Amino acid sequence: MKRNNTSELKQLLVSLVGNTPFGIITIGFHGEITMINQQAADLLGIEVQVSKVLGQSVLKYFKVESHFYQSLSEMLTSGRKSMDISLEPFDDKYLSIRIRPFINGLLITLEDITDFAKSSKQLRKRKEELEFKNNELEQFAYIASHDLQEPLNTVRGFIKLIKLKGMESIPTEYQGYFDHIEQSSERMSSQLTGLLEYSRIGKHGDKEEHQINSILNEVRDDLKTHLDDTRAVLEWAEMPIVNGVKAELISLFRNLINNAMKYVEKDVIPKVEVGYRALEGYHEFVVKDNGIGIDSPYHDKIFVIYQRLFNKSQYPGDGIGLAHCKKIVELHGGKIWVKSELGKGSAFYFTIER
Amino acid sequence: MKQLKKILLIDDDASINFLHSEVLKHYTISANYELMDSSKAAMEAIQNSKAQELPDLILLDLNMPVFNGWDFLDEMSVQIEAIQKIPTVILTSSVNPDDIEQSKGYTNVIGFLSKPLDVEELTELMKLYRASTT
Repeated sequence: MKRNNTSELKQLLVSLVGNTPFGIITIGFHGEITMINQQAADLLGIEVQVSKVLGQSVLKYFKVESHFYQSLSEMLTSGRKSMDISLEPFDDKYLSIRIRPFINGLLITLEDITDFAKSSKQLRKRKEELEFKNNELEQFAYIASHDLQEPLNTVRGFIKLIKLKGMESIPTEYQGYFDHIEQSSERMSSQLTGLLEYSRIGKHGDKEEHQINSILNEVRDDLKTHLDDTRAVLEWAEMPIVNGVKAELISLFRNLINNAMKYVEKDVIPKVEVGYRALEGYHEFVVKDNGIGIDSPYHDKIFVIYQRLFNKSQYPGDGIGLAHCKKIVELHGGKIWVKSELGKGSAFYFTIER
Repeated sequence: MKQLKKILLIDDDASINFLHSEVLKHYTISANYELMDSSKAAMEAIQNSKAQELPDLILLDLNMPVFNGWDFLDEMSVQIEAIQKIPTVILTSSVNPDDIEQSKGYTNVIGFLSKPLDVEELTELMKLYRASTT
């Protein structure tokens, strides 16, 4: 039985060495090959029969990478350490090589990682291309919004001048046209400013530790007039310290709180509550309101830039605020979503990576 | 306040330059206005002017093609004293702190304002001008 086991084991080993996709070589302390399978010979481009290379120095068959020679001879003399290296490219092949101590020498395993190496190289290239394109787009948005602002300012300047000089000599009918030109150019200007700010997200400096409590106090100060005018109630509980970009955290909370106050029924006093809970790896915040709510088909749409659900005369806005929030949250490693029903208020949730 | 004799306005955007001159005219800031949409041509005009025809004030855009506002200021500083000393206000669409810092290197630059010129900007402009000439 025991004899049988040993011979079975031997058979198993021979079969394994012969059929594994790995190249396997064992060498003695002088670097002489003591065993080599066909796969290893193929990977190293050895054309002679494998039995003919036995006893020869393994270094002869590694054509490239002088550091491989060094590391190998180091290992041979010390005889203890393990080593993992990648050779690229080796006869157009990418090899991953593992070297481990073995009885009276070393065991070398070779793996063909050409496909993997090529696709990860391609992936890296694609990633660089994407980053470049993305950068270009942001740059474009910045330049476009900045340069378009200039002629628009001239238009606004002339309208101001006309109004300054007096509209008496202009027929009443035309005077109304000027109001429309003025409103439209003001709107375009504020949209361009929004776009400009959107393209600047991620360029407001480095992440640092910030007390959300003091961020919220700053937001409250910013929104003071609006809060006083609407007699809105803004409350929050205990808030954590978060690693983030200050200007962007302020912008994020201000946008959400501003929306929460804005989208309410007439004559309703806005009530806004900011909540927090700690999750595994994340901070989760929620901005809850008693507003008009959002119907479920629009729960995703509202985060897309320039998507609006209302007429300007109902609720003014540029359609940039929530897209702005989404970009900020994503740059802080989190997600943003809404839970809401028509007429039942909204709760905007977002997470920030710890 | 005493009316100025002449203001030179330099901006490659002819419309905004015209707008600025109209705003100044509305408040009768100056008797004459010279509008130039090229700073190179403006420099040549100054160089060829008699001393009594030089402007009392220059409104200068920064971002112009080929010969920009800085080039204009550099060129001014190597002219005769009467030209070197003409009070100049930089009018720009985006006020950049680095630009403000750079403008401090020119003694004739009396201010830095953002376009377009409106009533508030104009008040500020005249304050700067008075401070520079007294």
